[in-house]
Amino acid sequence: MKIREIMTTNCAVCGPHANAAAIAEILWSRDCGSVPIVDERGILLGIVTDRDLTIALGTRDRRASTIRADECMTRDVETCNPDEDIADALEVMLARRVRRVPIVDRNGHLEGMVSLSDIVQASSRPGASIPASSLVKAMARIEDRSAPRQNPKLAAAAK
Amino acid sequence: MKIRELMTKNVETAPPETTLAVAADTLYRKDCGAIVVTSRSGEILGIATDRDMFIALGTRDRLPSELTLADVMTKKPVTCSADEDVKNALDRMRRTKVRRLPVVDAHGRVAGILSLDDIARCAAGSNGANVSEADVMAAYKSICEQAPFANPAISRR
Repeated sequence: MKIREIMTTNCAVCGPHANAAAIAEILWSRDCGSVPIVDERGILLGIVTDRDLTIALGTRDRRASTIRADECMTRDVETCNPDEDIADALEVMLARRVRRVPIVDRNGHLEGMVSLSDIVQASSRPGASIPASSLVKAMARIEDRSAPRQNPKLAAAAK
Repeated sequence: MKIRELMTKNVETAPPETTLAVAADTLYRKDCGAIVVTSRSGEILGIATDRDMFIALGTRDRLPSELTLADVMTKKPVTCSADEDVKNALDRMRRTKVRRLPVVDAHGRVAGILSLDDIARCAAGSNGANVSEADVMAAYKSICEQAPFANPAISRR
């Protein structure tokens, strides 16, 4: 099954200068946990999660309206393209220990997002070739606390 | 398998007056996603996740040092006890759509925390656990179904 068949295409996006208060409104109203950051042409620049933002705001003790997406986004983001198999997206999640992968075309233009829960939901559909054992292993691995995976920039101001 | 065998014992706890500036530092340093809020005598009062904290900070636009865990926590969260079977906990997560259950003793004192991922790690291993991969998948699906953000303490104002 191709990523194209299960990815979310109408995902909310923000520009790099969006502040954390604006991002909070999006995460709240769209009930999502992360927002891809794109430039004016729609090229993916990075991603921010609710966790990144909590840590960035809290450890610097700043108001949400005073911190911008480009101050706390993860720039080194692993992506997939829409014609890859959903197993490839799962591979990225395992390797990077993330729950969400941005999907881009060959020019880096954001096409959508795929989450672990999208893959779990799709796994029971015909044509999905991912066994439950692989998904459960992925869930266990992504949250493995024995291997830290913090974005070092997040707590830049933390002593 | 009993919850006791699988739970994380050194759960991060903090009193309700802890500011979100201090709580965020704990989330970062301890690489955890939630803090269990306890009274002076160790009884559970609530739980606050990284998401709860961010939605409150972002939508209220206040300084993290001005908001406390008491302002954002889910009060009286769903819990489990250490001597229950892991299968019960998984069932409770599926029904209540939460990924983490604080583990409390008969007096409501916090003894640990059990996450869906702990159970996934157990099901993925081969140590004779009585939870199947299918059970874990069913719980995960239920939790991920679009559930409205359900913490009444978090609102725009």
